[in-house]
Amino acid sequence: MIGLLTLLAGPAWATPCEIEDGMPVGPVTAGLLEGDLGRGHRACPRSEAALGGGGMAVVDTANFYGHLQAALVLDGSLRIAEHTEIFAALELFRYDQVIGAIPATASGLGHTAFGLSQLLVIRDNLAISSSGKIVLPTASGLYDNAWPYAADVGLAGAWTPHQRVRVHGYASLLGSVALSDGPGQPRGGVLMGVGAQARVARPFAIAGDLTAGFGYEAPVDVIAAGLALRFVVKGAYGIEVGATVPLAGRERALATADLRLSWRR
Amino acid sequence: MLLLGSLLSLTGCETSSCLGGEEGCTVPPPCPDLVAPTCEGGTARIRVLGAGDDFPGGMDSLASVGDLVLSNDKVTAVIDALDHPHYIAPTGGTLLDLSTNGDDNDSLRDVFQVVGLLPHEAANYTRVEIIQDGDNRAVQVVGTLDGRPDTTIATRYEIRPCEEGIRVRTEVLNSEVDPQPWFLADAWYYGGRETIPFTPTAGTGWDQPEWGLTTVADAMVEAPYAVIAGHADPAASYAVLSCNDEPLVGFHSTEVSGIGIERRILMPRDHAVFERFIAVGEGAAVSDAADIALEVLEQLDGQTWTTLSGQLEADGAVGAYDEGLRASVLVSEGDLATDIEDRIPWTEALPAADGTFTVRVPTGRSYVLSVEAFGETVAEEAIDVATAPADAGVIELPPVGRLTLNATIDAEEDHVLVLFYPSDPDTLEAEPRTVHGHFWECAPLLGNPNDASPACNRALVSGPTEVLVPPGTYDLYATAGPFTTLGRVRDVEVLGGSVQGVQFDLETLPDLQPEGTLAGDFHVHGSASFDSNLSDHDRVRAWLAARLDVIAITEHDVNWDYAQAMSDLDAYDRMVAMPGTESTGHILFQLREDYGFPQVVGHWNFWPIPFDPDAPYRGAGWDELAEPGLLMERHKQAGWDPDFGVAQMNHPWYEAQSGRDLGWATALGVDLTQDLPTTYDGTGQSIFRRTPEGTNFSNADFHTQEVMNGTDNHVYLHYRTLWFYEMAQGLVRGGTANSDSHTVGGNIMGVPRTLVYTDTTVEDFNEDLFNSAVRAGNMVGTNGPVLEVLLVDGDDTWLPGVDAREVSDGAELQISVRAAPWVPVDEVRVVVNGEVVKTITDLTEPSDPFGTEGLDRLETTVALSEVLSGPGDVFIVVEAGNPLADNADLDCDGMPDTGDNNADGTIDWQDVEDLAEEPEDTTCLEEVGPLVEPAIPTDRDHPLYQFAKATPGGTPNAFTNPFVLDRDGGGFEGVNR
Repeated sequence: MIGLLTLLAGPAWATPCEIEDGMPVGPVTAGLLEGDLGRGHRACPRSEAALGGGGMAVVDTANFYGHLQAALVLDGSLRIAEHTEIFAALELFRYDQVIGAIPATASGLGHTAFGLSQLLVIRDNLAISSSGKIVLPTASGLYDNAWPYAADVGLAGAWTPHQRVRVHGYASLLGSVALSDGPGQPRGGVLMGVGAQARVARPFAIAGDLTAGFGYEAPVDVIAAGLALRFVVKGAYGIEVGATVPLAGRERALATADLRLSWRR
Repeated sequence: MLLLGSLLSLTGCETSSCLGGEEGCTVPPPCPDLVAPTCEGGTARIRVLGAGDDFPGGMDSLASVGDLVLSNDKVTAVIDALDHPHYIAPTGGTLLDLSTNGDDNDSLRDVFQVVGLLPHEAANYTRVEIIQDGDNRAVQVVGTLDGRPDTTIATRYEIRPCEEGIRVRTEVLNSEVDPQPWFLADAWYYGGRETIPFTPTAGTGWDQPEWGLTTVADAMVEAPYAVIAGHADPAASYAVLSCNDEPLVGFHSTEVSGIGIERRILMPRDHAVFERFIAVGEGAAVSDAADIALEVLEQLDGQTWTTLSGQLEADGAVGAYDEGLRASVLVSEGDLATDIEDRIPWTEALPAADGTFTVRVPTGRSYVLSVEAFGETVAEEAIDVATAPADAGVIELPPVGRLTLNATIDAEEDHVLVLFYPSDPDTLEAEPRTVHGHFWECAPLLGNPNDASPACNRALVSGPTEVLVPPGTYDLYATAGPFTTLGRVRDVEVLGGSVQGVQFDLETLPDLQPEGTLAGDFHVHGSASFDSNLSDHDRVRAWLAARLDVIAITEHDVNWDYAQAMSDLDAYDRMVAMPGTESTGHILFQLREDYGFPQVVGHWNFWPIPFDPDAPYRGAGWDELAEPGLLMERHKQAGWDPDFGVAQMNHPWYEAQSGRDLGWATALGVDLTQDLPTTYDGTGQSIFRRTPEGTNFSNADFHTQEVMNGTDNHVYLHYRTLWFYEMAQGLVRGGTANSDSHTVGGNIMGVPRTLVYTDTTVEDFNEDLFNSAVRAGNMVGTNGPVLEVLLVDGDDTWLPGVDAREVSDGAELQISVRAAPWVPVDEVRVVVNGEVVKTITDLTEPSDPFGTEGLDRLETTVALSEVLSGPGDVFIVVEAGNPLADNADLDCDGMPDTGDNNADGTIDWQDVEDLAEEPEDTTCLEEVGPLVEPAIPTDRDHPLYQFAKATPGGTPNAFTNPFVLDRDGGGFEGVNR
């Protein structure tokens, strides 16, 4: 496979953090938790702005339950120092429909997340960073009497065993607590993932992830596989079309999917 | 806003709650912005009901020992004990009774908390606590949603001195990990024939959007309040208002309302709170509760109100208003030019005896007063209302006539039932009327079909009985059961303001009821059931008018005895009433592995059961979430004797209503072309004989099955076919014929009835002896024809029954058919192993259906050798009556389902009502029906016409229980297998 890739024309990653264009990198962006809580950030800082849209579906006919969700997300990052990046994401609009005997819908502003990433290790073909973010319950259409505040912190790494192959991984500790008249119900868990991205051609890469989460909502929250098709257009513009499919665990979603358009400065 | 909310939480501005469900928690007091009125010496009290205590009364009262009673100077509320759940609620802790003090007018079935429609969306309370908060008293119940431990739901019922109602707060927490589409609400269970919910929103009032299980969201109505009026005296009416700054939203029907706050997505860890005030007014009108609601609205929303008065009058002294006119005044916002759909009906008044009425209405609006009498809007007036009290003055109504009905039987005044039918073209053309658009159509509508007499087009008569009747021309029929002549007075012209008497003189037809039999009806309801408002006294009057000997009282979900009414009406001298119950499944559960939806097990009668006025369900067993075998076990624990009592499978083949299965065989999806497995194999079919966990009773250990149910016997074909199938499978059970009468306006008592051959008598009744005869199947079912059949073999003579006999080849059936002159009998059928093998048609006809001659229709013998062919065990049933209509089995389950509805001479897909196009495969259809029914002639002189008037929807029919013949000497284990 790697031998085949070397035969293909196109740019390569000499080192993990070498940035030569807007090709999206890092874990597949189609996440499973509110505000992408716990999903690893890319290891290498960069300045970028993106607009994306995604959706999620739960279909549980046996229990007469369904959940459809769609969101329009604006996110961005700013490399404020050579090894440091701040980032944020805002669900500009979010629509939820939960289906039962009496269905209900909600729409409006979604969650907001702020984070910081710090590159800790950079070597010839390896980068390791730490990152953390907080997720704020700005989804006013969803929360009435309890506001869950969430945060994660973790390590992310990238390794380029070959100039066209980039391996990424992360491990995050995540937690949340609701501010409410009722019990706050704090939750904590771990989410980790590993994946690889192959730059098949200059404008195109394919990425695949395996994700595992434990202890946040259940002993085994999720074991999931993700796949993304990534493109670069005119050097600075990136496109990612991805999906994550839970394979095991508590998570009932059939899949999440998103389309993200980015511009790298 | 979010940050502010967060900061408030962080800085300790939290209120107490039970959202965590922890011990010692307290649900906050409901409706803190609502100031309670004051009154002299006002108090609030709470007590636990004990044996011998004075229980709050009323037609719907179900309070029992262990329940909690909250009361103040105005109202009394009963919260059922956690282990006394009622109807759809999985546990107690629900609002069971609610009445104005001292009036014994509880009109509430049950109110419990839900977040949706499904079984796991109902509150399951596990803890109850009493709260004494200053002068206020409260009951707090805490639990989870049913079967969902990761949720918390808590409700506080609070009563304050002097308030005309009860405050309620419910809070629910979603501790699950998925968002939930929850509609936090009270489920008001009505039962279908008692209450008509009312909301003051444009185009609604009594007329609520229809809904089904998948269309509830489209039927939600937002309203400032909802009113549940009792209708039948003595009644209380209730109004519900939201008092936590959220609009009141609900969906409504005569079965159930869901009244709560706007449905929403409740995210994990979020919670919802519903606070409401439930006003209680004395009386049957909407205004009785809506008047209080407007007082509360003034406090909560600043909505001011004033009074609107008026008086109803009719021309002439006779037509002057009185209670019997049954007029109501609907007060709607708008004017006479406003479309009905755009008017906002705010309230409804029932005038006092002098015709006066006063209601409260919001100020500064125009209103239309619509007066409805006998189901018809007869007058409308408009009035502008400012802030001062307004008077609409006198509203003239068209006069009606007054009939004084009286009847004798054998020259003595007695109880009869009189039925009215339009007889001239003008009266016939008048549209049938309904009660505010609900229940069923009546022509004429003399009264609410589910309430006291007169009801629908009928009146119970016992001595001179005055009935107010809309002008028209009517035929009147008087009936006292099939062993009495039929009375008829033709073309009674009723004019507005007229007064006249109508006399019926009936005669007992000599020896028509077979010697040695008692006439029984083993399926009877009254107001103790959730679907009837018929008073105990009118219920017993109807029994007496039917001239029945034995009644099995089978109220839904509760045991009952009618002792007071029986005593008051001297009925004990004439009949016997055995307390019992009809177990009626409400809570859906996963009955079958091979079916994707939860179900209930149909309806099952148990009698006799010791009546206990203090006990939950008055001594009956709890009847939810149980297969029939387990129901038998529970009723055994409740005192039902499995050795002498009777367990009966009711209407076993019937469509589900409101998602609840009414028939056991249809619930299981029994396929009559297949055998009933003797061991459970995972199919619905094999549940029929399964022994459920927790008992040694099999589901098939019932003793009788209804073969005729209801005055309208159009589904006789279904019950008969299933009965034959069971016998062919070796399950020989007695067959009964019962009216399933709930009201005077519906099924007629004792039509049909079961004639039981027994050595006991009414005067010296031996319950065990009688019920043993029922269990033995020594019975004939009939709605008119008197069919007596004996199996004679030399010197041996046998009655029909479930026990197998060994007979010689020379045995014969001795058949006798007699009937009242008004009961036509066209044929006798001999049915062997479920197939008609001989039809006898040479029966005599009486010359005068209203006379006393011509009772004997047939005396004959049929040799068994004539009807039996080949060896093997058999069962024989004899039927008499009208020919059965041809119907076919188009879905290949062995049950006839479709008749020749297009009258083209063949029965095929084109006869199926729901099929517009020919299906690709017509071998076995998915959609079938309906059955075709025998035609009722329109010729008023036709014998069947007279019968149909006394037996609405019915055609003459009688059947014997089986003669079971063990011809191979090996016992009877079924046939054709």
